[in-house]
Amino acid sequence: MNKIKILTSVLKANDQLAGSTREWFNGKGITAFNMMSSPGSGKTTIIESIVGTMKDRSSVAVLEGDIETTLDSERISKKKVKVVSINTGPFGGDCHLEASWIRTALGELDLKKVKTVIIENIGNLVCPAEFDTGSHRNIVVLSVPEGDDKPAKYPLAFNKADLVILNKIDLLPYVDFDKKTFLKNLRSVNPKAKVIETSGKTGSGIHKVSEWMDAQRMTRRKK
Amino acid sequence: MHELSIVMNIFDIITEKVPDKKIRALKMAVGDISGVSVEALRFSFDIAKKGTALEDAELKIKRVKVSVRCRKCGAGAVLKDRFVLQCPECPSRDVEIVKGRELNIEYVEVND
Ligand SMILES: Nc1nc2c(ncn2[C@@H]2O[C@H](COP(=O)(O)OP(=O)(O)O)[C@@H](O)[C@H]2O)c(=O)[nH]1
Ligand SMILES: [Mg+2]
Ligand SMILES: [Zn+2]
Repeated sequence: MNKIKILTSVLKANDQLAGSTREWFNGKGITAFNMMSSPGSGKTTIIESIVGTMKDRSSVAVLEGDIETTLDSERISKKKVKVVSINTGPFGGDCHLEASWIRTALGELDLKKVKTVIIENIGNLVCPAEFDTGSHRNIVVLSVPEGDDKPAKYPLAFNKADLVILNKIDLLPYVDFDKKTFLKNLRSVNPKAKVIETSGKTGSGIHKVSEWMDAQRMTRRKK
Repeated sequence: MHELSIVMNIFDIITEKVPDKKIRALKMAVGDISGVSVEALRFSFDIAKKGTALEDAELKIKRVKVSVRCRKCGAGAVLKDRFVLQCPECPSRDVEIVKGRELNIEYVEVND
């Protein structure tokens, strides 16, 4: 028997394509955000609220990958922003977005005035965390009914987050969610991520997310 | 879960690097926080290999534990049970994950 060394990462092709997508964004002065969560945590609601408060909606484009609810793209396009649905294909592909699909979807958009791309990844905290989309920043949304132990259960997703949005904060009085325990669990997998509490229902905290996104754009521009 | 599409990727890589050979064994390194389920990987492998060069191949998997290195003091450690980012020596939490995210093809075995 003969051993042939291969020594390659299975995700290498995706990582390379994601890297080149990031370069491509950079060349166009676009900042891209990848939003991940379990189904129903409030990604679409938060995106709706963020773009709803934007002065210039022609500067943002949304890539809609969440196929849990097929109505997401319609919800976003009602806000008069550019949106494209990503069809992840029939073959085991509906659990995360890959860099190649992002590239294809970007090709369908007129990005002339666009400065911000928001990717709503597929509702799942395991698979999307493995696949670099080519975004500059990762946002993880956790809603309080899901429980304060989630960072410990999905360490990779929370580890990769630059921002953790704690959503459905309006439900805090009704559920067993201990913020201290949550922060302890989060800090044990990610010492740095910014945390913002929001309610997609009342709109509280959404402006802080917008401010954070603006700040990310600014720091990237200075570089 | 996307283990089946990962297996298809693996087959593509092997066909490209080792064309026209019957594969007897495939050795993978799978990190504990790679996000991939080893059971699902084996299951998908057994389904997908039929009729390919890997039809008779054995899938060998090496699990890789999570290792960290402290960015402050340089101390390193293999994480025992839970995934907690904490320097083993100093109070710093600013540690880098050096191992544990692998999803690598290490080697294949072929007949001479
Ligand atoms: N009570 C409450 N409900 C919310 C909040 N944000 C979203 N929802 C509801 O949660 C459900 C799922 O939200 P959606 O944005 O579709 O989640 P996604 O699957 O992550 O995109 C919808 O019925 C929303 O109206 C919130 O802050 N508080
Ligand atoms: Mg959605
Ligand atoms: Zn240290």
